[in-house]
Amino acid sequence: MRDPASLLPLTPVLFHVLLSLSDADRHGYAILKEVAERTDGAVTLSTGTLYGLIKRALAEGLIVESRRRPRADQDDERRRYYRLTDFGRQVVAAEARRLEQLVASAWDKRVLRRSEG
Amino acid sequence: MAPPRRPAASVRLFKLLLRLFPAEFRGDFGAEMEADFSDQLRDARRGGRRPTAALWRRTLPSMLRAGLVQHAAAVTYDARFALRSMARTPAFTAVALLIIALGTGANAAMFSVVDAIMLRSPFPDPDRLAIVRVQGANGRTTSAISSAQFRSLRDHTSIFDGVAALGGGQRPILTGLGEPRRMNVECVTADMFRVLGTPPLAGRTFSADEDRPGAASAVVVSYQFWRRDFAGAADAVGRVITLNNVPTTVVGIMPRRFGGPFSRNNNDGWVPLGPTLDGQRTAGCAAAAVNVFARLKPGATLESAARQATDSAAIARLEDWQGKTGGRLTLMSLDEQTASELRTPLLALLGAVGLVLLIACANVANLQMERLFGRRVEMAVRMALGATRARTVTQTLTENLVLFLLGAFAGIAAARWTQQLIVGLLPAYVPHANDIEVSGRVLAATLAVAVLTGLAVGLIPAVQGTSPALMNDLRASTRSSSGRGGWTRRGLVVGQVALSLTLLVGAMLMIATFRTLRPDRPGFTASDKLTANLRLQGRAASASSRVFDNVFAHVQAVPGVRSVSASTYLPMSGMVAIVSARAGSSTQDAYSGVVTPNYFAEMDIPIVQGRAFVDQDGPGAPQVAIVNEAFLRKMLFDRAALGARVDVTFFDGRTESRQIVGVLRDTRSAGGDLKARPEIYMPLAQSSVQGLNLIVRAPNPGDPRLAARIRSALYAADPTQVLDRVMPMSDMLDSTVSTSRFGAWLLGTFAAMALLLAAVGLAASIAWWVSQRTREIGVRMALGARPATVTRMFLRQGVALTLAGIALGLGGAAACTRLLESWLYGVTPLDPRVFTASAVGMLAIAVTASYLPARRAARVDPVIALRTE
Repeated sequence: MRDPASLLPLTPVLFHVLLSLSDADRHGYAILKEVAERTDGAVTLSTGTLYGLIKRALAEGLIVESRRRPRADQDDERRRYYRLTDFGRQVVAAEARRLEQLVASAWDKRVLRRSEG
Repeated sequence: MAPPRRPAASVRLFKLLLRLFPAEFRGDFGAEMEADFSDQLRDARRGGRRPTAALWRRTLPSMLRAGLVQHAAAVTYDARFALRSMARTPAFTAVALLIIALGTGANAAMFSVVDAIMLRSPFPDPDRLAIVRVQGANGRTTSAISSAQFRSLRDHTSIFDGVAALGGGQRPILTGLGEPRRMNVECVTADMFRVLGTPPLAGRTFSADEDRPGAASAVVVSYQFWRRDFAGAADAVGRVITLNNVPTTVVGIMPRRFGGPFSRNNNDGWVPLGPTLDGQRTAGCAAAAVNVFARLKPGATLESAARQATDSAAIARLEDWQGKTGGRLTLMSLDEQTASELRTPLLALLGAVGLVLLIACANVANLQMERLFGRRVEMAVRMALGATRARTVTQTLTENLVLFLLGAFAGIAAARWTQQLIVGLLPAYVPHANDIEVSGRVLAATLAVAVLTGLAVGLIPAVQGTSPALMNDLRASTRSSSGRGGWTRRGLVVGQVALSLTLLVGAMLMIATFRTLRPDRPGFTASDKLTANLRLQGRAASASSRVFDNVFAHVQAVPGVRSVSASTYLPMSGMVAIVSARAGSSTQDAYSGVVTPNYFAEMDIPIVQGRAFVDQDGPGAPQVAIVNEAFLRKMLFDRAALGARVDVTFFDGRTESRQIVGVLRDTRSAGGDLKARPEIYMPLAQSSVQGLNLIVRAPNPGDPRLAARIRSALYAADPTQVLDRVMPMSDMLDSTVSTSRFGAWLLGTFAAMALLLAAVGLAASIAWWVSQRTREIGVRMALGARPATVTRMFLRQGVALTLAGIALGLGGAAACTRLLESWLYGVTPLDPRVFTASAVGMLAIAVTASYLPARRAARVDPVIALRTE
């Protein structure tokens, strides 16, 4: 098993993509929408960028294509659904912890203050 | 941007954008991306125009960027794969890299030479620089301008941004800086540097005052002089050197790329011409006729500027340098003037080196096909596993690209070295030689060529190596050398033979020219001699014979010198005084020489009748002369020569009557003349001359210490006299034929490279065919074929391909050799002897190259051959 830390740090966009798969399997457009909603539009992925990230995540074993598909009447056969692997989940968690530590350091150094929080 | 109205149009546009991605990526994700985009578009349209426009604004650049990123990723992957695969076949990689490095390196070196000489001017705005010429009333055009014409041009015209003159004269003697010698200075008006547009590297150029009579003497030195004679000292500016006994201050240093208006390589510096123009001769300058350079105003044309200058400077009323009036000015671009004679031959050489690259490419393509054939299992497996043919071709092309780029880098590294060899061979008159370097342009051009050739060369084997037919072959598990690939290989071999024969013919023409101009047996011995030119200065000139005797005695005493003789004329040196000789009723121009009594013996020129000069042929004795056999044939019609009288009329009109006392064997008078010219010699003691060529016989004439010792011996004898152009006689003879020597060496080298590559290509192909037909050979031999028959079978194949190549190559040569015409002497571009000899030579090389692998075929053991199948 590879060390999740070997892939850190993740780029912010890849982090968002993996995060959006952490609670459900989604297809490409669903990922785009979820990220946009979750960040209030602050992160807007475009189709071209997204599939570059998906290709990389597939190659690194962070995600796989999911075999579960919606009911036939809601399905578009052109679509593929992606699922976060266990390894992928570890990597997202490791990245989140890394970010947490960063933020903690900022508190310690009083770069961040309560009133701003 | 107005969004497309109908969904179909938008999706079509998106599909177009998808083409920006590599095919593989598109295959994996294209459909999904399209579905996503349709949904995005649908959702956006619900919100109206604005969200739709925003979607497009976001999508367009991101597709472009992401497409590029994916392409880069694919290339990186392929390049890594290529490096790994090259490492797996080190022998192939090494040979291919060597061939590519040779081809690209030679091209980079040659292009850097052409670039510096023809394509790159050392001056800013070179389009506005012109050399001024005068067309006389008789229609003849000359670039010799009289000083009156120049002064008028300088004073009366505002057509130009500036005009400046370059004078002539005798190079001044430099003392006080090492041993005394002549300094190669050009006499220029102070404006020259401004007209050419080159500021000094250090110090300054001449002030207006320094360009007038009576000013303190000043010199601007060249970068090369500064590095060599001042060892690049930081305080060189301000130092004082002595020129013709006048203390002269170094006021500035010019940059490396500056070689004066004609970009001469061997310039030591520049002195002001102004004082000489105004009647006070300084530093040996002369201004009877000058070269004039003008910088045109922006936008002015050569024709209109010449017309206006002719009128406003009243050129027609002024005397030209020959005292005639009625001339008018014409202007010629300085660049054109500088490179005109070299243009065609240099382009021919660049073409020749391009052919070498082509042959190298054919060779590599051949090797690649062989390697891909060996990897056909790997290819088939990859394609069976779903790699598209396009992907496999791309992969193979990338491998080639990596190979060619690596080879090109090796070639460029070698080019720096090759280039020095080329520069060493360049005739001294070639401009801008200081300027030749592997510049950014050369680098870019070489890499561009590498990429193009890499792709072109990769395409043939890539397409063939992945062809479905080959895969079928594989499935059938045959080792047949059926037509596929065979014809391409044959074509490549024929092409290589044809191209190298074209080069060979060109090289042979140049070599024939060189050997005509510089024969091995010119009729005298040059190899053990050193020559030096001595031109008497000042008071010594009036007491010449005493001064000469003194010089001979001192040089004779130098350790390592066997003997000293002297002559005003050296055969094949290109410098000669012509006299008019009259014997009986016939008059003829003859080359004349004034020699010491031992000259003929020293030069190993045999006396065939009568005697040589002796010490008794002095001033009081009867006036005598010695002639050569050609003189005899032309003037005396083989009548008895000895005792005949000849009237010799010199160029100054003086006539002397002399008696012939000896006849010489003919030598090659002028290098270019196949026949000897009539020659007449007179003894030094009975003549009055100001200059002589010393001929010093020494066992090792190339030793620079010998030249230095001779120079200082002379300096000790008479510090007012200096020896000039001290060099081995064979070097002096080489320098007179430097153009054909340059062409012969370069084309010869290119042809040798081409022949080697073609021979290797042919041998490799035959070896490959032998390996492909091992089983057939085994069967034949098992059935009783003799080894010689098998060898002959393959030899025949090699010879057949070579003959086809020769036919093509002779045609190619016939079409190309015209380009060399201006450099040829004694042969025509279509000389049948050269063409025949080249074809025969090519055939001999090809037979040898085919024989070695063909003989291996005969050594095949039928038992082993059949068992391995």
